[in-house]
Amino acid sequence: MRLVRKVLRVVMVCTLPAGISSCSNQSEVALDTPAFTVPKNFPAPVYALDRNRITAAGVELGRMLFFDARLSRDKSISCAECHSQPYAFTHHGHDVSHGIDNRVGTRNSLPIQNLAWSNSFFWDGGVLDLDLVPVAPIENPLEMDETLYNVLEKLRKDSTYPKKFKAAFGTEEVTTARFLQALSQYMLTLVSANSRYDKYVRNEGVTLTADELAGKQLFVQKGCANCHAGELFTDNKFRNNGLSLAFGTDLGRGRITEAPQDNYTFKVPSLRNVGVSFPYMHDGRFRTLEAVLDHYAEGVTETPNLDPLLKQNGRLGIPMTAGEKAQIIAFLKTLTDEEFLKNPQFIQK
Amino acid sequence: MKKNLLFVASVLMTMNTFAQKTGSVEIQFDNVVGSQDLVLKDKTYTNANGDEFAVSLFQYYVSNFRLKRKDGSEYVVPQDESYFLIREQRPETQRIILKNIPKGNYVGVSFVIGVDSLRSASEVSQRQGCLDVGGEGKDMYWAWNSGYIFVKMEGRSPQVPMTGNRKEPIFMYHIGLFGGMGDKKTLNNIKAASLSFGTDKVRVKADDITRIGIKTDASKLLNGSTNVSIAANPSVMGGPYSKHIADNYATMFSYDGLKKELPAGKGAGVVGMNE
Repeated sequence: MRLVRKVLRVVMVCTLPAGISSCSNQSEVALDTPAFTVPKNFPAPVYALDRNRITAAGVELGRMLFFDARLSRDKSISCAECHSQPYAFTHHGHDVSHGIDNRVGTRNSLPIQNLAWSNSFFWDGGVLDLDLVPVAPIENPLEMDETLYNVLEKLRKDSTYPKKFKAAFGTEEVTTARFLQALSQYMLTLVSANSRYDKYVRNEGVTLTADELAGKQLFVQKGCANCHAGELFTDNKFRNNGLSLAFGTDLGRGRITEAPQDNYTFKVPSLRNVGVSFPYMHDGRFRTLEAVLDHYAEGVTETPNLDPLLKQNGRLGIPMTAGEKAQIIAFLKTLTDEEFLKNPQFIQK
Repeated sequence: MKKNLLFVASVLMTMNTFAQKTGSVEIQFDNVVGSQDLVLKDKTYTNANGDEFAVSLFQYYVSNFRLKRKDGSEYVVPQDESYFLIREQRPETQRIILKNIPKGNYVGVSFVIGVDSLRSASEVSQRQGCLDVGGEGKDMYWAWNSGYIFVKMEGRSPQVPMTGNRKEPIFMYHIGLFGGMGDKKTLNNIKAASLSFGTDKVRVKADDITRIGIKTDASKLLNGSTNVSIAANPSVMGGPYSKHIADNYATMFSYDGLKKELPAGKGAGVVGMNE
């Protein structure tokens, strides 16, 4: 935190005397901050951090933008509307997210966390670069119903933003790339890696209860970890988990690829903070973790492209007793990261 | 030290003299419908399927230009200077300038219809000028299935059925999809055009501008290996059917001869990424 303040001071000093050559060097502005670090138990990030260096000023600008309702057509909603921190940056309690004019979207908003480790975005993977993600909600008529072009025009006319762009990128120019890179910088800092589970696996003096440990074992034994794999709890693949089509026929990944074998497949979501990010599934059809596990135990429906892992030896779903389900849920709740959900640095001051 | 500087300066001057032995090629795009000029909104045309239609909007990307010599060798225009968005509504975009073309004789030109897959997936800082999704390229980009719209044609046709939510007999063809990345494949509708200058002597002279014309036949979206029924397919935006329209428009360009300088008031022409 002290380093961040120091960087800001350097920036402020530099913006005043325009002619001093040592200050015109942008690298002085672009000092690294402790805002983003790779947790010990995480793999290497996939986001190309070298092409968009995270700086204190960049994160500050990105955070301002994330909480700014001017990104929507009528200045009514910001990104934070559907991505609220206490609920792991999801739209709390909404099955599908609500946008402008209270228009209803078609999908449940995904958490914004650990995005540096993701190689595709949204439930259907329609965007493959984090930097291009914000254009989708801004331009979706059911979400912010604005154009990126207009957003940039609004920011250019603002009294504060050009200065913030200068602090982050060296000049006051408001460009598409800078706007998107600043948002990425902020979103990249939203790293959740301090749950009780994390502290347990990193041997940081935290113990798990007998039920939680049994659940952790069952999570692997029952095959949950085949898809919700590794420390990110997702294999980043697209799979059909056998949801009944009676509630809607969203083609998921098939809508993007036009390939019939991708119909009804959706991105395997991370399970980090799953205890606070209800409701669940792409359409938010399940309100509790109990309902989710009941689905995997008894509710899996044989729809086109059902993942073979959910139909083994001719049986649909994953057999689990009530006790086993309860233990798995106890384990899943160890993935709740209170520090992440309450981190004051993530909030617009 | 002084001697060294003088040497460097003389080398630079020599290089500069070499570099000056280039000229420019201006390509004037003329958007047409078959044998008729394209007139937005007010003129009605008929496609091969017999449907009547008027065009309200027609625009497309052309990129990755190469000029061919008689011996088969090519001059490849540097990529950053090789993306153009041609819009019927904006005459200044219909005149593009390829700079720094080595002097000599050329027998043909080839280019990509749309945006190549690498640039379609490139980082945001590489998307300048007409590729700026928050700027010049704002109406040629899909945000939800990230990629550029390569060719866009919209208009009206009395054959469009007034069913569902449709309030007006409007058709829309927004064709894109660059193939996806890595294991994340989508349809690939990137096409290429290769045009011969025939018997024309297209000669690029140092410090001079050589002007050629290319005709773009908008009706080719609807006519070709698939004769599109506007009634059956009034709205194609991605989707499997987009392949047929892309196959059709792959043939919409034709060489249109050597051209003269355009009269003043037709715009200065655009270089590079339409900046």
